[in-house]
Amino acid sequence: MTLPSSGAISLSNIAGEFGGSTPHSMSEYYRGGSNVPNHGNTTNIPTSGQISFSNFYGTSNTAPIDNQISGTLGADSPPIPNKYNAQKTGAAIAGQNGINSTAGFGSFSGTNNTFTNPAGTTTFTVTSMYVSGSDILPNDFQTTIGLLGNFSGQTWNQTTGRSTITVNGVTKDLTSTYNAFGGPTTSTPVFTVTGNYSYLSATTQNNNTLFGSSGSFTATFA
Amino acid sequence: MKLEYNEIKTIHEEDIEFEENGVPFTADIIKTDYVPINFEGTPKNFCLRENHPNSQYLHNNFKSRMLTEWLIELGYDTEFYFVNVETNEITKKQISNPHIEDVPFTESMEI
Repeated sequence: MTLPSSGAISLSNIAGEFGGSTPHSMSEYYRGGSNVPNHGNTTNIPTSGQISFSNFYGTSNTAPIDNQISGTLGADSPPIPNKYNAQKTGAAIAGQNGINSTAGFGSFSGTNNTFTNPAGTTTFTVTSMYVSGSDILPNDFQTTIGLLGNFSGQTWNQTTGRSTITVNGVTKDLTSTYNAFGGPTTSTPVFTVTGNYSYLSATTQNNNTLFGSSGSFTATFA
Repeated sequence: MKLEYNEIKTIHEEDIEFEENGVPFTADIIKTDYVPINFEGTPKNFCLRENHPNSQYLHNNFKSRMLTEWLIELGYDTEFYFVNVETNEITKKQISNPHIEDVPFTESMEI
């Protein structure tokens, strides 16, 4: 649902689509301000300066629904000596890839590192996406995803409205985790916040396929 | 202290034109007034068209901003206080003091 693509537009139209308090003012409706989100369906609206009603033709508060990111795969440097063949592959921004590692590897596309929830109301920026494991527990590899923002204590599904990630055909479930060290067999992983990002790890029993360590990737969230 | 307020919905404007997949339709603009009951705060309002797909999300965002504005109007420092959006209670932030926590524990001994 959008504002009309031609004809007369009023402040009531704009408030009806983006929300706002009376008395309405055009200055409430710069893109990136308190009422207008910054996404593909608001690109015609200026972020500052001159603003006119025609800037709002065909715009919508709802973001284009986006369930994919892309980039280049890489591998984290293994420990030395790597006695148990520890591996960590995928992509991660330096300092934002979860516990036990601070180096970055692989990369995310500068223009395609975000996805939305299924309703298109919230956009998430991915900071890490990798699978790690070793020969100690060869059938219990762990998938870790990092998102910009504080989602502490929330599950993947509560936060994003999604359940799985598929990277170049390799699918990992992010809604339950297998406990290879005893305790409950499975539980629901939740985000841990650190700095300005949060990360969540899920271990899937008997699914030790890595995301790959080189070449381009497309990740799909379902 | 719990911030109590009335929430009053009225039709602000009728039959405003929008589009869905290129097909025009009309909708009323609903105005929600938030009027303080037990504290001195300015009334707030939020307008949105009826049946907006992001209605709950947009209203929650507005309420969060509104509660912070009232907190400031009541003279609270937002660095130390926030309003719990679930309960509307003014709550003191739990701020850890790294300077205190980093002090190592040492036993005293009699000289």
